[in-house]
Amino acid sequence: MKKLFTLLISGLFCCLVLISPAQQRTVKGKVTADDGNPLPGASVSIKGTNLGTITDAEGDYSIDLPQNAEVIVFSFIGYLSAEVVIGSQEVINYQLQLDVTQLEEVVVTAFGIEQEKKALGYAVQQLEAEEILESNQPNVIDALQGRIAGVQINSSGGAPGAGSSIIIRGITSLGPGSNNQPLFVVDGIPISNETVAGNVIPSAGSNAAGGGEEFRDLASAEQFSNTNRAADINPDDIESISILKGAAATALYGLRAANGAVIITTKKGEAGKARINFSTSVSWDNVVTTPDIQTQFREGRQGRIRTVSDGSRSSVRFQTLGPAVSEFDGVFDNFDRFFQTGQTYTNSVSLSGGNEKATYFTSVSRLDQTGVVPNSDWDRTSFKIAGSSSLTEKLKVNGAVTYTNSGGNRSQGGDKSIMSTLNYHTPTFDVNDYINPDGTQNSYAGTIIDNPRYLAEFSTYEDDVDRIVGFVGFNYQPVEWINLSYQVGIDNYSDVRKRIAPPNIDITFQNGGFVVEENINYREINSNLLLSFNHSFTEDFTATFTLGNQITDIRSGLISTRGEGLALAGFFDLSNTANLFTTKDDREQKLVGVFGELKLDYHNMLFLSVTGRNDWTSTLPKDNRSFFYPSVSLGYVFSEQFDLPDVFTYGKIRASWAEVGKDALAYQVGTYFEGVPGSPFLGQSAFRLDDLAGSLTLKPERTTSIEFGADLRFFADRLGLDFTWFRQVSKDQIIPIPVSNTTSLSQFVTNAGEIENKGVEILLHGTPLKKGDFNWDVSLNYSKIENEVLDITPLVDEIIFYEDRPSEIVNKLIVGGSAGDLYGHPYIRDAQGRLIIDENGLPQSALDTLILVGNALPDWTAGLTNTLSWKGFSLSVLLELREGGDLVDTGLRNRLRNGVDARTGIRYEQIVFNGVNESGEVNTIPVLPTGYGNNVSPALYRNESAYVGSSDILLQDASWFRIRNVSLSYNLPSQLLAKLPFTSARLTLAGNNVFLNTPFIGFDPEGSQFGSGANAFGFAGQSIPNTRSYTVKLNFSL
Amino acid sequence: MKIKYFKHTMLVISLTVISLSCDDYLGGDTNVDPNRAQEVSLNVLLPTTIDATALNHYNLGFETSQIVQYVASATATSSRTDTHDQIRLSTAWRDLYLRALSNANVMAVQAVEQESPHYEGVAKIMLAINLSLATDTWGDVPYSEAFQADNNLTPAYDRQESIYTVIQDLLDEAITALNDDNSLFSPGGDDLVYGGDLSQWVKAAYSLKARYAIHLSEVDTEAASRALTALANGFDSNDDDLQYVYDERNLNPWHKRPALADGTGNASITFSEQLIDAMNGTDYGVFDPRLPLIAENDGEAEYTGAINGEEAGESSNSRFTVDTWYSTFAAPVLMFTYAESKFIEAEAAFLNNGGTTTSVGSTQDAYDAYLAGISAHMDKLGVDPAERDAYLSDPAVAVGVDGLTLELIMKEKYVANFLNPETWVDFRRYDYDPVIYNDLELPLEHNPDLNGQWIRRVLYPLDELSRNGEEVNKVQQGLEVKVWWDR
Repeated sequence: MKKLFTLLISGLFCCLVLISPAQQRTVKGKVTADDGNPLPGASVSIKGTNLGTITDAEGDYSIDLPQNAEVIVFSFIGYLSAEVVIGSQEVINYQLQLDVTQLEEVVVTAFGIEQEKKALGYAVQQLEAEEILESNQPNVIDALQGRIAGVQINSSGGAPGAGSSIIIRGITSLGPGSNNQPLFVVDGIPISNETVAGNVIPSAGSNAAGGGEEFRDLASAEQFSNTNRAADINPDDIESISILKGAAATALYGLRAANGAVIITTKKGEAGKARINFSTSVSWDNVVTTPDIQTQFREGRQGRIRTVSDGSRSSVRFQTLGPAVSEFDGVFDNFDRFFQTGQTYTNSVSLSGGNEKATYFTSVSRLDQTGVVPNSDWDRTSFKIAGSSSLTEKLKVNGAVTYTNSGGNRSQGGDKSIMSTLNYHTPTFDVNDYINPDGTQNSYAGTIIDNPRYLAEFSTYEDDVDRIVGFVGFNYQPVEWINLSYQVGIDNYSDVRKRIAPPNIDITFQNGGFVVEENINYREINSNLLLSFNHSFTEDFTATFTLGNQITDIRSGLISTRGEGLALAGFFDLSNTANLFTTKDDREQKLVGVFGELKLDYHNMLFLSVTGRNDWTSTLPKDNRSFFYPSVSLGYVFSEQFDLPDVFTYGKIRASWAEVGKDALAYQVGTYFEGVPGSPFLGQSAFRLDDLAGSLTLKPERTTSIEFGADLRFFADRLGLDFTWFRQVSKDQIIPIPVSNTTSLSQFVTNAGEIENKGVEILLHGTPLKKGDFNWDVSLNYSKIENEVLDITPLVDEIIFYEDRPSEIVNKLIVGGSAGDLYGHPYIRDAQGRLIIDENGLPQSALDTLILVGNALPDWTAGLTNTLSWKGFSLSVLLELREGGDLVDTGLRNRLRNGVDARTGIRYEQIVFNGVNESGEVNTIPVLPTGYGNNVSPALYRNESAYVGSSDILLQDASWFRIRNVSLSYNLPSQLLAKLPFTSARLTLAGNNVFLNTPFIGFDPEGSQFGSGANAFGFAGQSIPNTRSYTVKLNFSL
Repeated sequence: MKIKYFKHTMLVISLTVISLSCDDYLGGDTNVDPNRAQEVSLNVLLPTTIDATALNHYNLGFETSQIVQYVASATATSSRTDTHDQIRLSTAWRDLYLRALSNANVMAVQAVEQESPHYEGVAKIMLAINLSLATDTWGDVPYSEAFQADNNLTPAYDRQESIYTVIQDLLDEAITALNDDNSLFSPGGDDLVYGGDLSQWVKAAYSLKARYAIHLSEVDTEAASRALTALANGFDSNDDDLQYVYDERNLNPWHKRPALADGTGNASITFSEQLIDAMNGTDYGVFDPRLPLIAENDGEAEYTGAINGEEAGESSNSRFTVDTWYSTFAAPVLMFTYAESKFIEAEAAFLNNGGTTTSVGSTQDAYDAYLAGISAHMDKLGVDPAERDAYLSDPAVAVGVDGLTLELIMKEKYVANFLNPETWVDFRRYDYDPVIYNDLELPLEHNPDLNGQWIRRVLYPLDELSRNGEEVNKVQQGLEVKVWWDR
């Protein structure tokens, strides 16, 4: 592998030093736009030759003329191309005119192929660098929030480096552990966006994720919001992000893009003089909102402070159900006191340039982030070098290599974490008084409830990722109608992690403290070969045929060693532990794909594309390893054919049908024996029959999708509407079906089930006002996705994604249900919906039955961006709305049961529940909420049936409206710049999450308790809460 | 030149790609998990099965001990075993079938294939023990159609009556197999119970035959005789105890949970008044020297227990600690002891002599076995010999042959089988008789759906209901419905 890099880098430098030979005659000039401003990046070429150049930042160009040069061609996207006879001119300036009818919007599609949007039969949405940077998000996935229709971004919290997941057009897999995330492609090469949850749960002492063995991965995932690996990408390096949503758009990528694809194109050097861009920013982060607490009552139980003389059975002191606070007691809002202001510093420099023959781009960036939780941080350093060169007129070579180092000190979430203890912590003790003079934990409740600050400082988890992503590519065009391109790329990273848990905290009480050292390795090699033929049969009829081959080779490994029982205090190394436990997870996966695409273009009006791909995958049984799937898509620009009213600028309809296959995970097929956790026993190795086995006749999943859309534009593009309707059905799902344990198995992987997603995506663009220097752009996106489980298997009635014990809100699927369905125990009500109150005056929950009580996924979402610009000023506001979607705050239960939440401030006032008794008479029985000396036992706030077990209390509507992003920037005017050494300079003030409105009580309801790779939805509250941030940013170009 | 070279390169790459045989590239070991084994030897299955069987005794012991009021729940949650709520014990079910039975079954099958009857014998004993735990908890359970993976994903449930036939057959087959002179492989250090001593396994098989025979005391008139016959070849001393010892790496489960987890606020169980009063002199006027060894009361004058069903077990001052006998980190989980076998002998002899729950007096054999059982358990716990002898000669204990009652035998068996799920079988055989189990009362907050009836079985786990519902629905009965051997 080292060799490969040496080769790659030396290849790159070779390209860069190539110098084009001098020519005899030269023409130069300036290309300007219709408004008179210089037009950088415009193409200037000599007609009838392959010679050409691009204008620089000032719109200036200079081109050497061959002997026979006659006509020079100026062109730029969105403008009418122009041909000018050279004659004897040495200076040719030209003002290009806007092309309002052509609208040749170019987007990046599969394999990095740039296509005119109008030629596509499917929806693609592309974000440009400007929009990505506007979001000021360190994680590129978060930059998509609110901007893309049909895409759901789920962040795993506000901790530095917290991972985010992205789901395009809904959950397509029924398997709780299936991957529903899209393929990430950078400059044509797929990269890993995995989130590795690791294995950080000790042998005893954790109740994470309900403690059930079936949720072991989730248990680890909820502990730390691990980073999704796309966060290693430096957002400043990105030129554009194109989201391929449907199966037709991703047809060429095959099975790995069955959930869609995120195509990232990075910045390239441009011909002209060297450009240096420098940007620096600082951000301040705070928690968006914290829950309200009661401040009238002290810690204790049944109205009394329970101090325990011998310190042994102190389990009664951790509650906050004690006596009233006296004037001598301190009362602390520990949520406010615990969280601090996080800071992020970002600096990046890029240097780019080149000539007509070769270009280069290099960048260095550094991000330093400290979190809202004390002692948490994340940083990222990246170096990138990219270049391209035309070796001859027919042969081009390009390549890039990026090195990233990222990682930090992560904040613990989930069970027995910072967040669970903070939710439990009594307000009558200061959370920041966390350490005794001897260095041990100072907790008001022994180890029953740890001090969250102590956990933040001493119970830590660090990760350190070293990653190299690179590729080399060739493009060979022997004749104009044949193009051969080849690209080979690698993504290689190592992630070294260390978890430390000192003795004498809750999670280590049963294991004497532990250390986990994890080494994660990942290596993916991709080889892409594309051969395309282009032929114009007539002037109006063009065909392009592409043949391709793709080989993917992925190898990953995880070795995790946990040592328990620390002997020497304060020395956290495996050598200092009594018992070692090691787990390994090595995987290898290979994939070969062969594909073809035929594109026909008739009259620049009717576009047809037919594709077919055959994949061979290593993860399926030999007989089912090879499979083929086709797609067909059609685009019809009817405005080219019909004479439409003047206001109707452009109109296109599109339709597509596609099928895509999806393979299994590595090693899902067959039966195995696994080492028993905890083995060896008394020195004897123990293996057991693995209770997860897979069918020997497993076949690929199939997703069929249909999509219709329209792109309509009016008033010379001042108003645009893009509408898409889609329906996709995934069948023969590869899912581990839960089976009776009496079969020797708990789960059997087979093909079963069918799930449907259908929805609409609407994009509306408009320029309501454009007058002089003033411009107002509006862009709205709306999406609504409906999901339905059409079939599971006759063997089981339901598939459980996650069960939250003991409060038991369950995320499960049944036939006719939909992804995100939440079941729980609601209050028992009569036919009129009134609460039925028992003889003690309490409402009751149906604790024995699970009833559908909500759905975690939103009914619809919308984002609205308003951009106002005036001279050098630009103000952009992104509003985001999420309607519907229910959420369990798993920390709420702690706050209620322990008498911390504001709602538990009612103690000695009699309350009468609004409801009726069994006979339908209005309830009049008064209840004292505290359990002391009355008919309520246990205390109401600890009563499962009457209160804390009821889904009416636990499940809340998580709809929200937020101002996701406000960004005000000022570009220094050119008059001023002229006196400065800069070609451009910009100051930006921005805020994220500056406003939130939600019926949800508690923290910001956005986010998930589980890591970014998990499929369990509807649970939050035990991850580090979302933050609001303010940023000041400066950009300079030289 | 460059172009020519490049063309060649491309040609080579293209040819490679085209000629690349996918089968070579994708096949072989590519899809074989390097972290899991496709085949294993018998000596790595045996520790698994033993460890899991001990775990099952803990899982079920933890729950049934609340029913038989060894312990009381110390939690305040609404779903509790000690108040006879709708319990399903899904963890215990899962561990029985997935951890113990399935691996014992694989071991039995593989032992036959590999001509290793010694492993076959041990595997069948393990099957018998775990099958008994399952059927005595839930009633009818799958066996004849179980363990077939995807060849039968919805196994039918076998009647308890036929399960009992299977259990005795398995034990008979085990005895035959263990006595076979030829075995290709034989257990050694991997035998974490007897260290490869097959004669002890044979004794265990006989003693177990007696245990499962006496289970049928209400349905089989020959139960007592059968038990006595089997016991003739059974355990001889505490050295024969079927137990599993833990160490500092794999902690005893009672240590992990009641002793350690209570300190983290996850209070689970505390001692019940029923047991404490039987040992502290309240019920029998004699202080049992074993009490300070199994419970800690922090030096208070009296040991008190919780009333089952009260909130958070508040009346109890007796608790498990890391030093009490059953919950030290290395304490054994006692699956079947010599002491128990002596109490089976005492009970069987008592019954064979025409004894009833109210009759007084029996045979010398019954009385000797009764005293031997007490003595054996006291020695097991390391009771000071002087204290042991004082207890054994106390008039409340040393009632003489003519004073022996079933109550005394079963009370001493109750103490000696502390935390063992076996006790719940005894309680049901004697119908929770307050004469046999002194002053036994229903818990407070008793599940109102039971209308004052004692719990007789556990409901099938919801997982099982959703995954094998058709079969479960054929056999599902309420908590108050007696299992087949319970009349």
